[in-house]
Amino acid sequence: MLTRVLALLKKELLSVLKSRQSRLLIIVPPLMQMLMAGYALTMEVTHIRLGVMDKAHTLESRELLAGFANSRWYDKLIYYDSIPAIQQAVMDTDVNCALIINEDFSRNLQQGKQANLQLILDGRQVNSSAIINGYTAQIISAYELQQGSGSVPVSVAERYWFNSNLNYHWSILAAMFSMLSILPCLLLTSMSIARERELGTFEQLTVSPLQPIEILLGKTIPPLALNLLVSLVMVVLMRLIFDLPFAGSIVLLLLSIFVALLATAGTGLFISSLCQTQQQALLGVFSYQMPAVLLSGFVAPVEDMPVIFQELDKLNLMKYYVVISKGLFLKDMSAGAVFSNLWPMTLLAIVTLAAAAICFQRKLD
Amino acid sequence: MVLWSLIKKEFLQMMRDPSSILIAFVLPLILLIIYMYGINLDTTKVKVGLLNEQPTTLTEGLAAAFSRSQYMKVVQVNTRQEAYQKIQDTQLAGLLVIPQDFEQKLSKGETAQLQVIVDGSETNTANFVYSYATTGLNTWYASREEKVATVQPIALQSVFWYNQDMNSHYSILPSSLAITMTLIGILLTGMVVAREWERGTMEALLAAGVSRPALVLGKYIPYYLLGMVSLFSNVLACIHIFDIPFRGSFLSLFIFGSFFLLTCLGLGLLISTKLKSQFLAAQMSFMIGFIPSLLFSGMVFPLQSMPDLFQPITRIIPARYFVLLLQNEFLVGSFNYQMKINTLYLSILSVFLFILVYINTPKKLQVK
Repeated sequence: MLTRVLALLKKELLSVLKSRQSRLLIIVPPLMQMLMAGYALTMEVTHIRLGVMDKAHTLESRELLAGFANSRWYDKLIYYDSIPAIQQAVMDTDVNCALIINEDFSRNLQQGKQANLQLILDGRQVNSSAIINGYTAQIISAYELQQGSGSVPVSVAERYWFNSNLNYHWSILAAMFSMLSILPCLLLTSMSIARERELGTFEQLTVSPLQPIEILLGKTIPPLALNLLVSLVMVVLMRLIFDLPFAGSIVLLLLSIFVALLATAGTGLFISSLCQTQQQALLGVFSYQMPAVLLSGFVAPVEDMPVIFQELDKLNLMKYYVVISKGLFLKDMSAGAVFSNLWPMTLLAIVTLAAAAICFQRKLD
Repeated sequence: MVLWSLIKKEFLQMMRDPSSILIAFVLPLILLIIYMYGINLDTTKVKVGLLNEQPTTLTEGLAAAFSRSQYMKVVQVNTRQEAYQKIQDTQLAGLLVIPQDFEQKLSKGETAQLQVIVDGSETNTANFVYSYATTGLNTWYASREEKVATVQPIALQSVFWYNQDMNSHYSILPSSLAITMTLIGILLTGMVVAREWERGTMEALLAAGVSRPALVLGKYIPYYLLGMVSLFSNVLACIHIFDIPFRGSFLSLFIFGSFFLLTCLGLGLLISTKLKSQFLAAQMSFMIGFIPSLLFSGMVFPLQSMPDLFQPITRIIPARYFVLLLQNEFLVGSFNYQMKINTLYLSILSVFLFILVYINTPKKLQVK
């Protein structure tokens, strides 16, 4: 049995590694996407361009605007003198938001009356706008404090655990790791059976002395091993380049990556064995992976989803893997918590691999 | 005539292979349903712990105010250690601590501080917990009976243009259509053409003397039609099933959508004509087509926050302009000067890609 499996392993490895293009495409994309995540992707809203229409032109209004200019979130203030001009600027996203200061701003402040400010936000960018709204409120209350007119009976002192400077890239890197580390494996396994079938070589496999379990091993091990290697390189690079504090246990992480890859290989092979062509396999994988990522908790917390989605999510590998990845990279997650996410992954791996093996069996008969 | 048969053949293959239908109609609908019902960014109720270090009538009142919050689900914890454990295991997103000296400081007229500890590994949630806690504290203070009359000196009135209720579905659902178009244009088309090269049917067509224009148009036209039907059925689904307002015109959506789709088709065809292998074409279109469209189109990550080095990259990515157009057509409804410039850019890009595809399609069988 061993020699047969070894022969198949050799063939599988060769078919992936034989061409330079294919080698590059396994290794380069995940690493490149990781670098992009670390350097470019952030959910933090910065470099904001603020449109200003200052009808007051007083010391107070300029002091207030200085608060925006000095803030680290705002890049520049662009002045406009009419509402239509502001409308145009907001629509063309020349500015992300606009502040209108009325003529009576300083007069009201001095007389102890309430001074109104109008902030216009872009409703097309709901998330960014909500955050900009929060920044503006903070800058205004800082200005009130500075004016001495606002007393501060109560205040909030905030502290961020596990990421004390609230580095947005760390959080995204940890979540992206869970996606990038399994993606090549998913693509490789899903195309493999479908390709053999398309080229007609699957027929040859079926008449060879290989047992379904041996085909399964031969099809699982090479992509798994390659991906494990790429994942390790990613972990090292994340630590070295982006100073990501690896807080948890490396043994637990390796175990989790291994189980996640097993379940991924199982899913990929299962989808692949259902498909007649590589096109079907690739698009099938897409139709599985996009919802899986969207519902993993990366975009919005799982607890906020309707019950039916939460129930479906129990079958979602990504849901468990994102939690483990974030937990181990940033939070020194306890072994107990890791295992409570790891056993459903293990179960998924067993079920999908078994399903794939059964499909081979059926095809062989 | 040859072109007509090629187009007919392509449509027959589409009908035969359910994966084209899956990617053009089923997956987009699934995604729209997930965006609409699965992902709710507006009414997120975060679970936070509350530690009241010295329960008094006053602090209990504050705690009760927090538990009435429509944004937070407050759970009592007894020690910081317990909270730490729960935050670490992601059972809680943060912890509110009312410190021992809270009431004392408040009565002395000093600033009484509420401590808010948040899970920094979830940066967005961390931000929300902080602002919910601040608002919760301020409202509680303002609504106390024995409060001193304080007038907030500056009142901020925030207006959300184009989307008054800040409904995040209004911006997410339309922009997700850009992803669908990218999938059809780059991934599906790329696979189909690469398969023809892999199987040798393309060579058979060349050997049969099919002309280059017929060969290229025979791929462009069917997938263009599939993409446009998919686009408009999804737009109608957004309007009529998911109740997203549509304020623009179908004509400008059609024109701009056509150029965007042609750009994607050009990219997909170029990749597959060059690589001639389904596996490589899939990987490549994924890497240079799909991922950049997802990450650098402004749909998920705010573009202005990206470092200067990446700014020029985001400017050449076609999906960026299509996301903007979709949001404009749905929410704003005017096709302004900037959109015309963007249309011009996409039309030039699609023609350029068409020429590249044309040049790279061999005229006749070649000696390898």
